[in-house]
Amino acid sequence: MEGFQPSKMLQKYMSPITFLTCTSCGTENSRAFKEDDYVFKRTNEVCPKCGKNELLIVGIYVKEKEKKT
Amino acid sequence: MMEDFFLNQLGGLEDTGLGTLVWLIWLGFMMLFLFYPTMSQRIQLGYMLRDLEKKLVRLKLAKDEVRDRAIDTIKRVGKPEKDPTQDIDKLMEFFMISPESMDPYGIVYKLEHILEIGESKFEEEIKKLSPAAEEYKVKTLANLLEVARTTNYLYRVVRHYYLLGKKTANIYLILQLQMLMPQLMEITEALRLASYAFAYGQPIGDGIGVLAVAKLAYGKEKARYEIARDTTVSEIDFENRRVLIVRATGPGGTVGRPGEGVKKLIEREGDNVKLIITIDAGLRLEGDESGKMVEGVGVAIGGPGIDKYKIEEIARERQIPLYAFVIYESIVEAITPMKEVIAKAADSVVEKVKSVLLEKVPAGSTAIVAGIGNSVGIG
Ligand SMILES: [Zn+2]
Repeated sequence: MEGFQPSKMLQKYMSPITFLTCTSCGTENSRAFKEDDYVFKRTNEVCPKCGKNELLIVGIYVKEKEKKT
Repeated sequence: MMEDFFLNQLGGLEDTGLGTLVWLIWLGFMMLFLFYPTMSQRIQLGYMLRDLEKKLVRLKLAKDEVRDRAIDTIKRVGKPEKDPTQDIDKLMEFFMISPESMDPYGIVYKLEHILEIGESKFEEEIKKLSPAAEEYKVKTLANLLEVARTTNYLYRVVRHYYLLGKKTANIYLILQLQMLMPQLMEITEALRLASYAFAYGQPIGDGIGVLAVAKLAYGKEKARYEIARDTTVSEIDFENRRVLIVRATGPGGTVGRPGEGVKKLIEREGDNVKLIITIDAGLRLEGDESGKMVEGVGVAIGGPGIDKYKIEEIARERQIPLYAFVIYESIVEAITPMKEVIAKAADSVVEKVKSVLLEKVPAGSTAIVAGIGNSVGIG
């Protein structure tokens, strides 16, 4: 009889990444998810390229780990 | 000689009396298994019970973790005046009784009625506990409590059969429970991870239908209004076709009333509606690829079936074709934070919907596109 290993069941929670696009120059960047983020929210974060402070959240999802080849 | 050696050994044992004892023990065992055939079963039962006990502990840990997360989140987001622990424990035992099916006539509407009261009651209670939370966050918190409630229920059911099996030493009961355990553990684990998503308001895999239609509508919206409770319509023009996009109102966690929404739209639009497209996450079979999109006909909506019924009924009445897109996911992926492969599928769904609209909807007429799923984290 194989014993049950609790460690095997425990999947690690992976926090999603938030992907943003600058509304004026279109630069894409990403950062860790923050509370109150949601897809198609306009945040007043500053664009790293043009310096305007309106970024649009275009995606929130968990990045997959690189597959070993 | 070898044989002599062994014989001598035996002879030697006999001399000390130990040999007789060994024989007696052997005989005892033989008799035990002969006259008490359930002996081996009892040993097996003992092993199985111990195995189940370990798993039950794991379920309890998961249940407690989700409960604690629910309490912490209500405290953090809702900022209640008093400790919400007692009220949350009460909500975790909340139940809904499904309608009597002996006479199935009108059961869909009875079920809808009960689910609606249940949902309202749940939201009301959470609103009372979370005076500081915005309206949309109350809905997400209600989802979190629902997750806690389900985890608690799963734990109680497993505990019930474990204790019953133990009390009655019923190996067949235990065997059935043990057979189900891997799936139950997986679901509990998924619920545990789902509690993170709802605690922070992150999009989950089930939201793919909503995400796809949100992408379809984004930037092209001509009008946006609420058609049914928690259900939004976005109107867009696409290549001279009017497209009415129905979805749950985000970014709070809700599935809305897509059935009621589509029904009201068709009643309003009359015969202009030439096509209904539903987009939903569907359970993939083991071996299928996650994030794969498949198409077919019918109404792609899971859940208790009320929305599905309403759309099917009105579509048949008005002879409107039903087209469906399904994005494959596992049950774990559906309720945990959305994975990249699934999020990426939204773009291909949008392209596919556009080509279907061009192909099947004549210019100048109207189509309804319903994105089904939980809108948590999707505005
Ligand atoms: Zn910029």
